[in-house]
Amino acid sequence: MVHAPRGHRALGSWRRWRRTRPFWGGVLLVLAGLELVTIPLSGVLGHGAVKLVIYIGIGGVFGVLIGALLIASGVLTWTNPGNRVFYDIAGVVLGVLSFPASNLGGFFIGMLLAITGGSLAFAWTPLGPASSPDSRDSTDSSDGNGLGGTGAAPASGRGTSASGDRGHRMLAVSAMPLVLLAGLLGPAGRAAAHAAPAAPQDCILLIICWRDPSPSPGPEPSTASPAPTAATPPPTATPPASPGASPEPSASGPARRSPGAAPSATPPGHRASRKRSPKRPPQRYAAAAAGLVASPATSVITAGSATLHGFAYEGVVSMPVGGSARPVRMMEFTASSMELAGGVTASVTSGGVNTLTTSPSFAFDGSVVLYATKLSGCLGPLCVTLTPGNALSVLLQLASKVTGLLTGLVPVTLTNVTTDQPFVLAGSLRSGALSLGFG
Amino acid sequence: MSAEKRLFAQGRVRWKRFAVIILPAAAIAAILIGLTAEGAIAANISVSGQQFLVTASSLNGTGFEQFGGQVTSSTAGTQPVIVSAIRSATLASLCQQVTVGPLSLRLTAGGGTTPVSASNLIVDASSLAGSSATFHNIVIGQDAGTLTQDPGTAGTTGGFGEQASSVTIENLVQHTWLTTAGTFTLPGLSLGFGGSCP
Repeated sequence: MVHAPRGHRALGSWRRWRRTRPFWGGVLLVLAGLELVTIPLSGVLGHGAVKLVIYIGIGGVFGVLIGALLIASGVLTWTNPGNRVFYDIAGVVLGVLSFPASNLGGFFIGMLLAITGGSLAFAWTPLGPASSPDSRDSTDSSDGNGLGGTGAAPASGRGTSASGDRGHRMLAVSAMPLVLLAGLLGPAGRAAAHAAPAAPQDCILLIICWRDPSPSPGPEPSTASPAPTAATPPPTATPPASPGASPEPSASGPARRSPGAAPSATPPGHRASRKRSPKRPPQRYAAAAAGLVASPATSVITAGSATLHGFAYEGVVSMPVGGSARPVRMMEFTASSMELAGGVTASVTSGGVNTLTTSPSFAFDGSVVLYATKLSGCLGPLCVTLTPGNALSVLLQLASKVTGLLTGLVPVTLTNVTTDQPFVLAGSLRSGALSLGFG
Repeated sequence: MSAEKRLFAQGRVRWKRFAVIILPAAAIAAILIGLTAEGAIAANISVSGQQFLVTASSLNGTGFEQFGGQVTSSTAGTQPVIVSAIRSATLASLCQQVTVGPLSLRLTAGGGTTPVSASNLIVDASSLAGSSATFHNIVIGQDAGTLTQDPGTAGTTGGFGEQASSVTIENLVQHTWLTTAGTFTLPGLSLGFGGSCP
């Protein structure tokens, strides 16, 4: 009895609240913002994967920022309808910008919601009992507040009659998208004219652009440095190769350095060598056992067969291991090419997770270097296991020249090959159907 | 009195006013969409949170890194992922299937002569497959914390990593948890509801 009228009154006041402000426009703006925020962030919120934030980077930040601003503009449209023109134009502009800046406008949905919601709220005009001159004046002045930044029309028009003011304001409002269009098309047109500017250039909202930080330390050093690095490695390549790499003719020399400096002629190598040349002088790079850091994760590569060309055992090297001060002893093998076939499986276990890579064949080419803690396989009926320092491996090392020569002429095929802790460098790898997953 | 009335003045949407703002906005949006579909404007893509499918008839990239990662899930514990980072990539016939709430969206691009191109592409996948793959200057077994091919991206020290100066994968199929790219140009962009990627 007592509650019923109260409920009615609550309903009535809710209805009044809803009708005295651009309610539905605000709803659409808030929905648009939520949708835009959800796409890049749902992994973070839903899965507690804070690490994802790091990967999301600047792109995700803008998606989230635009979404957050849209939510704010929607809520402010409700709570402060006097300034709705500002919030709603901001909402429309953010909606348009979300297309290039945030997952194609949240795959169109968020963009459409924002543009529609902002326009609806903008078009909402108070009328009703207090309408005629009073309310018209009040909307004008409030609209004037909102538009204050965009043009002089409202300020100058305030003194004039209401209708004249309105005309000015409409002009300013419809001119604004044109200004925005010009602003957007300027850089866009330039980008198009550049014809695929592959140069790593990041743009925010298509207006603020900067060169990618990593190459930026200077276009001059970058163009200058490849020349020295391209020139220096060959001389430094052979002498410091001594620790484990006996004089395997020139071919294996560069391969050992391949992660960065070796293919200084090829464009990708260029970039890598440019990046590291200022940091590490070539001497230091080559002087380490191999300048490489092995992973401590447990890993095994097995293959039905391995066909080796120009195969030689180079001896034991001391290999630094990531996250550990102690280097590990590994055998170093070189080959001019190595073909794994008959079902290749690479299994990596790290932190209790097992990653499996399978392929029918792996063909390594272009001066292959293989480091391993254990290598076993069968040569016909004879099965052998090599570990650093075991008798067979010592013997093989003594005969490395011979094996290199022999297998250079006639490739040797091992069957049932297993390699523990493999660390492979190669000029190229061609694999058959490749599949990576967790097992 | 007048202030009171103003505060509680009811209002309605004036459709002329609505048109004045929505038409230019729609025109600009259409131009932006058109330019993006021509590949003139690069879009920013970053999606996370749900498993989704990415396929491409071929992927070419320079500056390739791959290492294991984990996505810690509050509900299902740790979720292992294969993180692939490519500094600069082109993808022919890209198809990406995303689920946004109740909607299943399918985005395709690069089906014509011009492929999709992406910079600073990072993909966290739960599985990855290709009909064939070629890597140049490959290093397998490098500590994930010391990878150098994609400057600024590296795994955790102690992880297993591999890198290559260039990579080509044919008929790529990935189930991913996260895709993000600094810039994505999407020539021949089209968006559909439902359906599935080839």
